Amino acid sequence: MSIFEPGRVCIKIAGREAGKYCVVLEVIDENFVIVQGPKVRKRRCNIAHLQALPEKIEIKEGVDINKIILEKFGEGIIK
Amino acid sequence: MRRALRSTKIKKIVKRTPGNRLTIHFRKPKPNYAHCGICGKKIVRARLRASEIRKLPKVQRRPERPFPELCPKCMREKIKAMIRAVVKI
Repeated sequence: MSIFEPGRVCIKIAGREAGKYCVVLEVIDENFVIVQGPKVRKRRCNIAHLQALPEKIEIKEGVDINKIILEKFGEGIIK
Repeated sequence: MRRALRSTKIKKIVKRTPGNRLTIHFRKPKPNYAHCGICGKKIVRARLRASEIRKLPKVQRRPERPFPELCPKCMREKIKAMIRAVVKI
């Protein structure tokens, strides 16, 4: 039971979207997950490039994930 | 060949032009590698002179990630430290 389950809120550490909030949509295998966030394109990402946070959000159909994260957390910790 | 070009550091390359005559092309030495702001290690990046950098589009002059002046490892450490300052884990 890895901490990177669907719904887990994370912050990207590497890449041009470093420091931005994102949420795990899907788990591909033990190294890769699909993430999305208000400033993070929906993409496959290595879990080494993610820092998990204690919070989780539900992922339901027709729910705009980016809006939820934007309201609860904001875009990211870097300008 | 003017005085400044006669130094050994400047490479002379003999070329044949379409007009079938020989010309000399001069190549100036490359600058040093960039170094990381924190650990001071070498950053593997294009070693270009200021005149060549000026011709590049802005995006190609530095990496697109935050803190381009740091090496990728130091950048991650710094962002993790920033996360720990903001979020209680």
